Amino acid sequence: MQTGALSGKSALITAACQGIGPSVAAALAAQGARVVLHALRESSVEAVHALVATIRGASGQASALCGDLTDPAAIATLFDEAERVVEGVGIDIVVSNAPDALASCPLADVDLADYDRLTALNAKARFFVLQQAGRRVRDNGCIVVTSGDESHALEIGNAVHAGASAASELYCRVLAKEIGARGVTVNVVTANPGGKPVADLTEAADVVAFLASPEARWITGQHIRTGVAPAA
Amino acid sequence: MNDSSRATAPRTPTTPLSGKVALVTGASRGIGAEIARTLARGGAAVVVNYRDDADQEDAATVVHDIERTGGMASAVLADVRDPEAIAQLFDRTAATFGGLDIAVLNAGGDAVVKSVIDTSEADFDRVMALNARGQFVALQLAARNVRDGGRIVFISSSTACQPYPGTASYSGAKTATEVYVRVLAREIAARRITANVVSPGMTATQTMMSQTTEARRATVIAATPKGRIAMPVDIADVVHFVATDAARGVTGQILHVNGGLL
Repeated sequence: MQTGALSGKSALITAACQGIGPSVAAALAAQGARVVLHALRESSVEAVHALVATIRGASGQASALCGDLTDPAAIATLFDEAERVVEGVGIDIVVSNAPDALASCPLADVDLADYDRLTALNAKARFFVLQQAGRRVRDNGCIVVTSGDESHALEIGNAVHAGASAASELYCRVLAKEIGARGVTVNVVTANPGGKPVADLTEAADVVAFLASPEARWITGQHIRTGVAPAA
Repeated sequence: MNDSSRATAPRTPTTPLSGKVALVTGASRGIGAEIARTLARGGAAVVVNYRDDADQEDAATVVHDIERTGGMASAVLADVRDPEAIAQLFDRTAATFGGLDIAVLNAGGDAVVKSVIDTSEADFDRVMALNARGQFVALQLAARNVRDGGRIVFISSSTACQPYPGTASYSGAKTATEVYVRVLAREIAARRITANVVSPGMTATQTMMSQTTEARRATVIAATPKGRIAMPVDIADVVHFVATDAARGVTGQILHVNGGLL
């Protein structure tokens, strides 16, 4: 339902085709935001362009970018490009969408290369995306980190991923205190699909859209869990 | 008074709660009054509950505010500490507006600020009666009365998650109710009713102003990233969101609404 609540706002969504990324992009665009969709890697570029086409087909505004999130310098360049795409008015909303996970592996057996790869994407990349977002998001803007429920679900085989997600949650809580004076909110939204396909989780996207709206101005440094009612 | 045209009024982006019925306890003033007004602005018909005759005029003012802007509201007296009164409150709500979709349990307080060592049995019982026992009964009735797809919201307090000396009985009571809500959420999930806690930080109400010192408020402002104290509408806007379809995926949660203080 087009509400126009985010009319005139611009949003950058990193790893836009992963997990709930497409629903988030659609939800923000439906409320009038101009969305800039980032493709994590060459292989996602086609999917991102398809998402751009879908949003434009529904009368929304969207563009695509690509960039490597494991290199802080490349993240800075990505933000430069995103700012150029929205013609210098600045970015209001940054959604750091979850990059992919690692296949389940007990802590005792984790290969160092896999540890480095997953940590680079899920902790280090998140940190430096948050750094750029914290510096550049416009006053009264909004930063949201999305992920699955791994840091709370705590399953066997999930240590590296859960640890990285938990680290990202802490970065958000601290950043919220550091940039709150500019009116910028920083929050985490996680989705517990409970067996449903993640792409069907429009409810998580609706929460992200709410956080980007003026009605959520007093919520910052928080972690909102969506999906199946949690056991703990 | 059962306006059937209300039930078929189209839900629009600006009136997402059109056709819904809401009950807000402790709604004669402060955060509760603002929640009632905000839900009404969203299109809901609202029962404005107040505790005793002293609050009747304030409750009538909230109803008048809502009706003046084209909304529907009704003030109903009931002391949340009295199980029979709460039952009658829910019955009156159904009789007035035909059903119930959104139950906001805002009534609370009676806080006794005393150390654990100095808290009397009477102090303990009084704090528990309103903030735990009464809320438990209200939650039971809400769970029985709220229609499928509906909402149950308990208004807690940031004191519950960051208790300080003097607040044991109050924080304990609020926290007990938070657990009731989290369990209830899982028990009624199959009916697509969500149950959540909204936990406000310091909010500019008459009650808060009379219970805090200038120095305490200054400390809180200094520690709040947003650099001010909440207005009731800052809290009410979040409760409104929880009541809408957009929040269908949020249940069993404690939403801390405190401008980043915690």
